[in-house]
Amino acid sequence: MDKEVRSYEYKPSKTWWLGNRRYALYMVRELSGFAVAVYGFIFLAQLFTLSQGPLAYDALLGVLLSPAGILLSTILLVFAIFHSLTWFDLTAKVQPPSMKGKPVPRKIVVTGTIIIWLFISYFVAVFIFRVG
Amino acid sequence: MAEPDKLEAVLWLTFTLGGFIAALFIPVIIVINNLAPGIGALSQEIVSYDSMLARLGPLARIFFLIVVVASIYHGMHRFKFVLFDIGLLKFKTPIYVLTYAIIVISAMIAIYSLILIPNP
Amino acid sequence: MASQKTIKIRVKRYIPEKAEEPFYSEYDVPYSEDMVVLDALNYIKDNLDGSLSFRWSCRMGVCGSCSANVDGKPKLTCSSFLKESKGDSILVEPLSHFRTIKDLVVEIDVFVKKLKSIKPWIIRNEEKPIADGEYLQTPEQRDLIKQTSMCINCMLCYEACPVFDMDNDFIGPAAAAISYRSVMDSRDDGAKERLDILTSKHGVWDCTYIGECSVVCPKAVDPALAIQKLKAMGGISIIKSLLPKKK
Repeated sequence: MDKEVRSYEYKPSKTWWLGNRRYALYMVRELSGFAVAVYGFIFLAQLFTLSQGPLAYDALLGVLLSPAGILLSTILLVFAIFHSLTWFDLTAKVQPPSMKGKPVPRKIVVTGTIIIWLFISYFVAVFIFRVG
Repeated sequence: MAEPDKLEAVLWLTFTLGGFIAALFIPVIIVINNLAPGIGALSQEIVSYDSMLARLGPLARIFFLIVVVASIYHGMHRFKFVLFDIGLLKFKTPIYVLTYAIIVISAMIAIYSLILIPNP
Repeated sequence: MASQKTIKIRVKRYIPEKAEEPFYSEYDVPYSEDMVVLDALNYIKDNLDGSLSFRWSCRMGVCGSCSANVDGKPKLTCSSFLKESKGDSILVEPLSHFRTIKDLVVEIDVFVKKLKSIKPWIIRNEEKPIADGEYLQTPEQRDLIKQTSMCINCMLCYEACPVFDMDNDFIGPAAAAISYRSVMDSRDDGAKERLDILTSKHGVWDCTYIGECSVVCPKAVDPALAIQKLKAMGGISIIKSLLPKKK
């Protein structure tokens, strides 16, 4: 039946994500998720070298704190923040928070999320990394 | 009667949980663990071998294990779809095997490392 | 006669009994501010080329049959004004994610099957006697399904969906949105059954929230978000079924 109604073999586009700005932005968003995994691998490498002793750890640390390492960290941080914002945004849309049966206004949800996020970040810095 | 795809449901729920953990913790960890000592905003002492060991009590170990595995899981799950998006859907099974194998191996390395890291 | 302003309409044609491959025909159509692409197509059919085939019915964005790509964007031709087009010609092509039957007419069985599979009617455990009257809803209950109820099955969202392009088996935006409407309907008892269908193979899990379906929807339905909500509901429902049952 297929052959009767179609004159040519249709092939799905492999480059559709270059087709418009929103598709491209989607791809950036997905790659921001991948960037999070890339940082996961870096952090995993740090943990692994920690288990192998100070020599191994310091060698990796040297690379990570070099200009190239800093550049990589900066790029990954930008992607990671992009991931956080898009993720919180989607979560709030999928499960809109409500109080007493009424939806919480979007402005309050956004500011509330960011404040909680900053507070948790501060908590991690002080109590896990013992900064300050 | 359509059967719910239970495996896909579990993979997806884990992925959303991972996405949430990564969203909350990865930015602050990059800042303190890499960027701030790198550009001199914080002393490099904060990431020295000894200070890393000092903060790795049992709770911190579990925390880092969760964050590392959650981030890798989340990212690889999405990376799998990116590969499909660029026309590799015909390799669906190998891509599934590869991405989830990477996650499992990473988790094993993380557990191994965190057990082996000496106590402070 | 004063020379009337015209506009060039370029239409992607496919006439299987005439040519193996699709080709393009160009027509000069009298232009006026209030004309839509569908008007131009009808002008061509009536005055220039009776062989041009396309679907249409209501001319007012309700029936969902006149979908096509206008200058590369999925649109209802009845709602795309000629004046919106920037160049001096307008390109009209059939939906590319479906098989072409002739010219702008595409094979829609693939979508109709999906629509049938999600049972787009109210499922009741028990029908109440007709004498008991209608199934009433409060305005709040109605609000939950208002937006997704607007779907007109025009399939523009399928044209915008790269996942459907990759895999025709994917349930897709409209069918999922319509099913979401049923799941949320206070009169419907079929939520579990519906979620089982939606969370099966080729169901909602294939969606990666690209979101273009919601952008092109002429009725402001948001299938992309509906699918994410269905993933959450379906996922939780499956986990509950996996947990040991309380006695």
